[in-house]
Amino acid sequence: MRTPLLSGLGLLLASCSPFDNLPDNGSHWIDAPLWDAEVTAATDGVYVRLPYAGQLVRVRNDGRFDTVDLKGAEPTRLVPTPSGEKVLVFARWQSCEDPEVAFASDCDEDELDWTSELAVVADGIREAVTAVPAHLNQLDFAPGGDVAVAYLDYSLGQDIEIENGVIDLTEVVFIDLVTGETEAVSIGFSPSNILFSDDGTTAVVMSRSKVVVVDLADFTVAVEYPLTLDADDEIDPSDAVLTPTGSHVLVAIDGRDELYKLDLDNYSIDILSMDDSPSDLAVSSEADRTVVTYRSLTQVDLIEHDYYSTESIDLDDPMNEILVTGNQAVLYNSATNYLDVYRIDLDTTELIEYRVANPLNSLELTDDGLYAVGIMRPESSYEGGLDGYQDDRYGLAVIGLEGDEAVSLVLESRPVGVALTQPEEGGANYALVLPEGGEELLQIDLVDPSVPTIIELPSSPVGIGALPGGNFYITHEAALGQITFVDPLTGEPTTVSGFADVDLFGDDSLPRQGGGN
Amino acid sequence: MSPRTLLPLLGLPLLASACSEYDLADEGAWYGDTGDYGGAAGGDWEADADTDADADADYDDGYGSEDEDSYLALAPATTDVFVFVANPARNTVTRINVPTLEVITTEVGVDPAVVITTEDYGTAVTFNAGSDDVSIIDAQSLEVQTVPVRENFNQMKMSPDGRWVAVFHDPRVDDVDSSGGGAQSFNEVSFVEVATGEHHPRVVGFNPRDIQFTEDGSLAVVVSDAYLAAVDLLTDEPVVERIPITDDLIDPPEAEEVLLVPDGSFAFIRQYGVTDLTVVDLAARLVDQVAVGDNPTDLDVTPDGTQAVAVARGSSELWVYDLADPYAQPLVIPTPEDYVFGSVIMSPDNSKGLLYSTASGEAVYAAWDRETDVIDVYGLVKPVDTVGVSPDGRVALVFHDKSNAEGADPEDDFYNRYALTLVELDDFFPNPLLLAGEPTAYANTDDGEWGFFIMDGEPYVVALDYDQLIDHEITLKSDPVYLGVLPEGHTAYASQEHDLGRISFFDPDTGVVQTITGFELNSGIEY
Repeated sequence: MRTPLLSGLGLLLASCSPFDNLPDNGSHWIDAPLWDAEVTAATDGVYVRLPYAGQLVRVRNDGRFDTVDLKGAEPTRLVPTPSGEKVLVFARWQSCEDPEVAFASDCDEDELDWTSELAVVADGIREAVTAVPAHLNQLDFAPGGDVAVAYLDYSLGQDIEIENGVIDLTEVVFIDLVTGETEAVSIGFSPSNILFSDDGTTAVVMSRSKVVVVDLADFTVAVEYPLTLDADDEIDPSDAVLTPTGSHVLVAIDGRDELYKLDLDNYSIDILSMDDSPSDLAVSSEADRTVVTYRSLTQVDLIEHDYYSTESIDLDDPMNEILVTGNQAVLYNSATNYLDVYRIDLDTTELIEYRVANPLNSLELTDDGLYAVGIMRPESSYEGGLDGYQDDRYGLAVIGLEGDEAVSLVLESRPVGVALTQPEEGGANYALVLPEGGEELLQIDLVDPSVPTIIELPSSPVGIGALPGGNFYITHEAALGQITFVDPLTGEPTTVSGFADVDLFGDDSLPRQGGGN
Repeated sequence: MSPRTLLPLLGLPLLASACSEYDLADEGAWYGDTGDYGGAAGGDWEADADTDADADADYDDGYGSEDEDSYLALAPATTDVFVFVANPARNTVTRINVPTLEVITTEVGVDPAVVITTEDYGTAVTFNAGSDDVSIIDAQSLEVQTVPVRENFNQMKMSPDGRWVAVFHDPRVDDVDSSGGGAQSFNEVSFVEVATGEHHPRVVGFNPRDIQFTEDGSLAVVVSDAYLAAVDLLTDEPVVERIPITDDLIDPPEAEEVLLVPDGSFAFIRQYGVTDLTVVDLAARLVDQVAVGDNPTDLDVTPDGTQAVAVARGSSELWVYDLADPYAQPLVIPTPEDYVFGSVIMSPDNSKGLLYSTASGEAVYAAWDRETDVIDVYGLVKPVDTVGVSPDGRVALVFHDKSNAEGADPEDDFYNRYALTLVELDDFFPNPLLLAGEPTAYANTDDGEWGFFIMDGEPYVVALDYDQLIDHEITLKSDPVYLGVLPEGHTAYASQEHDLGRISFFDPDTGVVQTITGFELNSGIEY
């Protein structure tokens, strides 16, 4: 689990260097962040981008850290594989058309070029590298983690980097993470929302007015489903789910009261009429049902997967988000100020309503599905007294889904992050909450959420996340880098600092000039 | 006659009681034993053989023709497994596998107007009015063979054995856009052999009004006002023999109805405003007339296939002919003279006939007991628009349009409203139902347990429980267009308005409605 909070630390480092080669009488100002606190957790440690130095470091919870050799390429984005055993590193390196030039500062500006690549890193070592267009900024993984799909997610708001003067906005790139082989496949405009069959043999890719099934054995397009026959009609899928058997895909369309049902076995399409435009879809494999909620309709629909008949359940308020665990669905609304949270037993359709004190920004389920934990935001209130006090403040909602109890805690300040973990299978569930501005971590045992344990931190935190295995990491506001590792069982923090102090005074040599990668 | 009023009445597989005009070979009633049809021409009682149109017109009683057409263009066609739905807007045909609801669409010609399946369920054929061709579709593989036909046609019929389709211009059908340019003929029929796709255009007579096939598909007859064309379909190429059926080839009386005896021995032709029926001995190529009373307005065959019944509206009589000897003396039964009866529909068990008139505006019908020949008159809430009988003969369905009987009370619940009266034929107990819209199609299950109908602009299928005479309303996702019942079951289907195609299946035994929408998209799936 990772909680990205900051995309970069706008820190001004005043570095008083003892080194002899410093200009300006031994002073050197670096007006840029040395490290990116949006770190990536893997089984072997936390990987951290050093944007100033153009380096990647791995920080381990035993206090050590080391630099990952990317052969001169600078990391731009990190994505862990689902197992956490590998990290995929979007990277780029600079070159000059004149092969004799060794430094970027010696190269004519119009001869300087960036080349992008994707490196596969495991245990701190670059295992493989493959060419992936720079504008593909998102990765999804097939079950098993051996195949990834790179695509452009325009909603991330990043600049689209155009290499070689042209990009193909219809393409995705399939990557064999074992061999490093890639295959670009033209899908349709703005491909996104990629689903994989449980057996990892096929991928289903949504795009404007089209859904494409790709055979992952050879990365070829197996089937193309049109979502319209009218070329003037632009149909943008907003959400999609794959049924548990992998036989059908249900696709929600922006602004349409419909679900497209694509039969992947018999290659046919059916359009299910819904009562409104779905806001969220989720599938329960255990109950073999799809759950549908709506932005403004006080109703949740349960679709069974034999005849695709719909059972509607009335709600008091509309719910726009769905979480599914086992045969339970938890519904909440993150968009408006509704205070209801619902749990539905998808086998019996029993509906349980909870009420939290303030509107929810987010809600997460523990891995065992016993608890839902959400961050509540302040809401405008005309109420006085204790109600008004609570309305004015951030809070933490802890809902016990087995005992059907909801607790709304008031937080001292806005939480900069919440992480959930269950260190021991079948053991206690914890939520770790980082209040903004403080130097402490709240460790909350979800069985008894009202009595948190306070863990002192060495400096102000900026982010929190879980490591594979149950430990936590906390990133801090520290110019040269600082991460604290916490074992929730013992509450013992281990802090690692100074890992951003790497290659601060390097030159602008072109790393691969003259060949080699 | 507007196409709008045509729709409610025709093509419904359940008008089985041989009421349907020009639909002889499709009627279940014709599958019975037909006996020996080899009667000699010119029998003793042969009437005056008057074929003078002007003279015959004198027998017009002024009500106009009875309206019992039941043409339902574009009705889906069924096999034991599949339903084929033509999609004129997309130039496609969709095949729905009923057990699995698998839906596959294939492209055909432009504006497919009619789709029919062969009796062996192996082939579906569409007539594509916009491209003047027919598409012959393999029901399993959906491979399509396109065969151009002559231009300016709007109707297609298939022989009972599925060997031939005949495409022609039916003046009763609303004209589709003619794609023809240059010369157009109104005398032609295109015969297409389904197995080979060979096209044989033939000239038959001006304004062919209908095509009938013998039960074995060996012969087709095409009736027009002045000619009956007998088309031999057993030869390598269809051979046409045109037989004049009137002396007045300049201004012939309008041929309204033809009945072809299943073995092809005789054809009966009913014209409007005459006092005779024209009988054609197809073996001897002899044309003669038999008396029929004044102004025959309906001509039907009995369900057992042994008799023909003509309603002589002008003289208030029923004329019953022995089909084994059309020239033998017919039985003449007077009908109640206080009322106008111009149409007859027989119960499938042949025990009753229901008499009514769609032209008189009277809110009555009469039951004719076939055993005693007693005719009793019963009142209705409104005048009759059309009448059907359930396949087992237990229930009559009397549809009423918005028109009111003379002197009807404007405060009456049924005044200016559509209605349906279910009549239990054992005791003639009626259950009149007020309808939200105009009924546009109805259908029955084969066993007569259930009936269904749809209404114009109303998103419902109404299921009729014939045991209880009770209706059940099933809500659809959009307005229905066509209705049918799957073979050998109780499941009804209704295709509905939707840009990308929609069809619903309803099983009254389980109450389950399954809807498939967007199957037009299937034609765009690439794999």
